Formats: sequence, structure tokens, C-alpha cells
Amino acid sequence: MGTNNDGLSIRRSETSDDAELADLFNRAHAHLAGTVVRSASDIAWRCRRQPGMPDDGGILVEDPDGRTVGYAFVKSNGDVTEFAVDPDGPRLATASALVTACEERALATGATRVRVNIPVTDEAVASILEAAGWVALRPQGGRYVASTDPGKLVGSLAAQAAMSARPITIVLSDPLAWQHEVTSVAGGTGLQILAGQRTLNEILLGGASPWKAVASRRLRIKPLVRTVSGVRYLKAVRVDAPWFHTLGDVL
Amino acid sequence: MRVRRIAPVDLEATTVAAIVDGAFGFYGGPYWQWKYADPGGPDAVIMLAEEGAEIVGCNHYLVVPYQLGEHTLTGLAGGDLFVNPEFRRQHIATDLSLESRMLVTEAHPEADFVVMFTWQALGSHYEKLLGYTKLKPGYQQWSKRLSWEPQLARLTEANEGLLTKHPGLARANHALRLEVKGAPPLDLKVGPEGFTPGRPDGIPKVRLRVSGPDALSFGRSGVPLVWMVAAILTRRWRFGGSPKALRQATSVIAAYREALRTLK
Repeated sequence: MGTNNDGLSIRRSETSDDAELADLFNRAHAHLAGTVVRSASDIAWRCRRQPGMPDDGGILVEDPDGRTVGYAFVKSNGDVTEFAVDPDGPRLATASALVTACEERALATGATRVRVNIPVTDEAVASILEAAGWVALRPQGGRYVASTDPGKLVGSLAAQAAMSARPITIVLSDPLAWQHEVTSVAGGTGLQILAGQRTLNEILLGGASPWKAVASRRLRIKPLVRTVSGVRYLKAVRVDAPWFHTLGDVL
Repeated sequence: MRVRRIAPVDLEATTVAAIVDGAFGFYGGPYWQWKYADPGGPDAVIMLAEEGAEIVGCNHYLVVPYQLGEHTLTGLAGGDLFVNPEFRRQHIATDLSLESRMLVTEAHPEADFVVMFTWQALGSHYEKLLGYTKLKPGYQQWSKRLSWEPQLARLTEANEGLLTKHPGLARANHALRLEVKGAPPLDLKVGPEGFTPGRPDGIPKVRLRVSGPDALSFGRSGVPLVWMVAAILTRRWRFGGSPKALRQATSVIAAYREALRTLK
């Protein structure tokens, strides 16, 4: 497709590029929560084999040194199912080149509109889209999450955050059939966190404040004098980065 | 109702793919095959709900690694729950959601959480009955209309009906420029032929600026007059142009209402 005024080359991406694309996506979204980790086989399935994706639906942008700095996949109906820009490259120029290429590709396939999902925190790409005449839509759907076992999730997050040495016990007030009522993290019983699972979900995955849960008595910490430690612990293990989208669905 | 797991190669999966074509207009069998039966895709869990020998619904999960900040956890991405149209309004969706979630978490004890996507209207159902927590939206959808062609074709087809229902159009003779944010401007002539593409010179002109494609989303029942007034008062719609053209537009506002709905 050629080279633009910023010296960036735009070409069709091939299957042999997939490992590089996966690496780029993972680096570009490493700071976010809720992205599905990409691999070459995942790109092949998610992007290339998705119904409605033409053979030339993949767009790749390279810098003057031949380094891949961005890519996108555009379906025949104009849905951009994948859009990633190298965080260490010329982001604005790359995003601008990709946006233009996506529109051209969509027009070539007869699409009458283009759509893309962009992380809410990515103000740079948002500014490029706005300047190109795109408009932000009101969300029509939402993502809902439930931990399969909040106690187990606390343990898992604590282990990954290298906090497993801290003794803590989670007591669920409303366990479901497959959940443990009591989960001991690191086998200790020195501090107990008692709550319903919705409250724990909201804190661990939804970004809710543990202090508010304590104040409204939906969360109790025993012994009472260690409430500050318990809240600090929950704040340390919870996931509070914004969630991105799953899978190849544009919606 | 019995809920059980089936494999993509099972005979029932073919039936599910066929039912999906009817249950989701936008979705279709090929999309289902790709998402849940592609051997190169993530592990899929297909849960079938049966009433006797009849398939009454189906629910799906994909087992996927989620990056959560510095962590990678296993998530069960649920979605595309459908109920056979003949068995709707029997709480099958709720029962199937709960039962299948129990079965899938038993089958995948390594999973840390289940995540679902649903439309806003069903959100409270997911929170109250199914025990899910709504996530902060992490992404923003952006859109740009590249062409008005399909909408113009619909409008041209609708003109005959518009002229019959709104005889005032026969006396109109002005031009309308529609400027929707995120779309190219659209020029229409409003007159005895209805709303036709083009911007003729020498006739009074109206300009309608719309804040975005959302502001053209009127729902199934059309644009209630009260909604239109609210849109004008809140400046989501801004009319401008020559006083003569504006007077004409006001006299055929009901026709405008229908025409704009067609352009959604």
C-alpha cells in the first residue's frame, strides 16, 4: 500500500507476521486489565479466520527501519476487530496511518461505516480518531464478572503479587454450591475477612472501595483493631486497571 | 430441564448451529462454528439445555488467559446464551445461566472468574439474579459513517408512503443539509417528490446539525414529538437556515420525523 508522509510503510499483514503482531498487542496492552493474551495461533483464529474477514483484512505499519509499529484487522462490514499501536514507536503517526488505512480498506470492501474499540485511557488514539471525523458512541452493553470463588481469587492474586506469606482467612457469607465458605490464604488465621461474594467481587475485580464496604458493614474484618491491615491487603491485591474487551467481537 | 455439556463434534452441535441462525439475526451458524467449534480456537464449553428430547437452549464459555495488570488469570468468557424461541418466557435463561455456570466451574477448577457481556437492558438481571458485578467500562467504541447509500435507498423507497401520509410535502420546496457528527454531510431536497438526494440552487435551505449517530437512534416506534423537542432544547439537534425554509420544515415536521428515522 506504500509509504506515507511520515515515512511509515503500510502493507497487508501475512500469516508469517502473526507472532510479531501478538507480541506487539501484548506489549501495547500490558498496562490494562482484562485483555486476552495474544499468541500467533490466537491471532490466526481470532483475526484471520473470523467470518467476514477478507484475506487482505490485515493491515501492518512499519517504521523506516522495517520495525512493525502497528497493525489492524478490518472486516468486510467495516468492523475493526483488532487495533494495536507499539507503545515505544511513533504512536500518533502510526495510529493516524492505521485509521486512514482502515477507512480505505472498509470503503474498498463496500462497507458504509467503520467501528473500533479503543481503551478509554488511550487519549492519543482518541484524538486521532476525532480529528479524522470519528465519533464516540454511547455504550450499549456492559461486561459483568463473577469470581468462581472469591477466596481462591484472593489467594491467586496474593500469590502472584508475592504476598502469600501474609496470613489471612476469607469467610464467604453466601457461598454457592461450588465455592468454599472458608478459604485460608497461606494457611493463617490471624486476620479474617468476612463478606458476601458480591462485595468481594466489587472490590477485587470492580474497583470498589474496601473502606466503603467496611463503613456500610458489608465487609467485616476480625479482629476489629486490624481493620486497617485488612483493607490495605485488599487494596494491594485487587485489580483496578480498566478492563478492555474480550475476544474478536467488536461489540 | 436438564443441562449437559456437549462437544463441538457431537450431533447436537449441528442442531445448535442451525438454531443459532434463527435465534441471532446478526450471528449465524458460521460465526458460531468459528467461535465455538474451531479446533484452533480457545477451549470451548458448550452447555445444552434439554426438555425431554427437545433442545430448549444453549450457553457457551471460552477458557481464555486474561492479563490483569501484572497477573495472568484463567477466565471463563461466557456469552451467546440463547433460548429456543418456542420455549421463551419460562425462566429458562436464568436457570440455564446458573446451572451452566456451576457445571463449567466444576469442569474448570483452575478458572478464577467468569466474565459475561450483555446489553444494558439486561444488566440489572445479571447483577440481581445471577450475582455478577458490573465492570468499569474499559473501552470506548468509535464509529464513522462512510456513506449514506443504504439509508438513501430506504428513504427513496419510503417516499411514496411519506407523500400519502403527509400531503403537506406537496407544498414544500426547500433543501435540507443533514450534518451528523461522525458522518459525511447529506443533502436532500424536500418537496412534492418527498425527500430526494441533491442540493439544488435557488431554493431556501435548512441545516440540521445532529450531535452524533446516537441522536438518530429513535427506537422502534419512531421519534416521539416530545423527544424531538427535547433534542432541540438540549441542542442535540440544531436547526438553522432561512426563515422561509424553517417555516416549511416546521409545517411538515411529522414527515421529517419519519424520514430521519429511515436514515438511522
